[in-house]
Amino acid sequence: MKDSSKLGQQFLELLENNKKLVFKIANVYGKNDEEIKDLVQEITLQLWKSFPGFNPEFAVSTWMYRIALNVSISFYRKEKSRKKLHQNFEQEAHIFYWEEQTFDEKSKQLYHFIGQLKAFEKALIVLYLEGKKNAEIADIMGISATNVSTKLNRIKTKLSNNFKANKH
Amino acid sequence: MELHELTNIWNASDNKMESTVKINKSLLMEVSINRIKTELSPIRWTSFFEIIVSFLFLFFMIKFTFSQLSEIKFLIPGLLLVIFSCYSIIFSLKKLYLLSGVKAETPVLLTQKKLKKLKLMEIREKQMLYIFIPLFSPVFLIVGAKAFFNLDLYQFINWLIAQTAASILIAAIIVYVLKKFPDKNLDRTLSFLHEIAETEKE
Repeated sequence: MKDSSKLGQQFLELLENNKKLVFKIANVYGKNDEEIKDLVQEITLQLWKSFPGFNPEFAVSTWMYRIALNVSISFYRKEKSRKKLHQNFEQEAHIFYWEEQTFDEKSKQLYHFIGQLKAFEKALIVLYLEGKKNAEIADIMGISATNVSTKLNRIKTKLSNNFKANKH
Repeated sequence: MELHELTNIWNASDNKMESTVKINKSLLMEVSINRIKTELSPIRWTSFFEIIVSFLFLFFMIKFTFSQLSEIKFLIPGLLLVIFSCYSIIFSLKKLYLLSGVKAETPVLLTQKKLKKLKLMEIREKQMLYIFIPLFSPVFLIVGAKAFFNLDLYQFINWLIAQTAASILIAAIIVYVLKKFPDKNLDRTLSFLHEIAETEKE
């Protein structure tokens, strides 16, 4: 059995190296600051919870993306549960904190348009923008690589159109 | 806007995040994961509790039914409740099986499908209970009166008929209300399952 403080240290290191992943997914799925904070919190907790069972033979990124996306897509919480989460974690309300200038205008716009997509479309485009190959996206999502390719083409067209429409 | 431009925008914010997003390490180390129960929790203790209660009820009903083998008027209600508790146990076991397969680290569509199927089962179970409870109330009363007070409710046949008629009426009203005002959660769950099916389609 691994020593718990050593495990905690390893997890912290893993989170530090992948904090952007958690933050980006939370920003895509969260509708406002409060939701983004809740999501970051929940993804972190779920990662920590699953960490002792993580098999190092598999890619860390696949494991992290699956958890982060599963948590985010399941984030259809009732107001009551969210309030409870806040009560339980009042002191840990800011595990992540970030500066205002993290996003420029164009980035904000891109996140806004991605935010308007359907739950699985968001996941697919985020993975694409993160530079993942179709086969890897397929593995994370649990669909075929051909399906990923077809879906991505539609999503990319949708996003480009939104940007064009916004310009006019 | 070209695709590479979207990627460029994405990467530009990505680079900034390295320095602007920070983790409160000391707070993180204090977090105890056991204090939170997310939707993706592998075990829901209420499911175990439900199964234990249903098994206890089933044993009680089997015992009661066997003791009434010669009295058909108690044997039939007894058998009905045995079937009712078997149904409840099978339903709870199915839920638990589905729940045990929900893992946050499995492929996204698979996990989401299981979660939504589970949600759908819970909603349907709630709706069935709304209907079954009034519908089975005369049966419960007959068995309960006999088992706990050795009282034969058939002596009060008029009252029993009125009770049965009222329970059928209440169950019918509930069915009407459920159809007229469908559960919003059910609609949302069904539409999400549809979205999953659409995503799976090539």
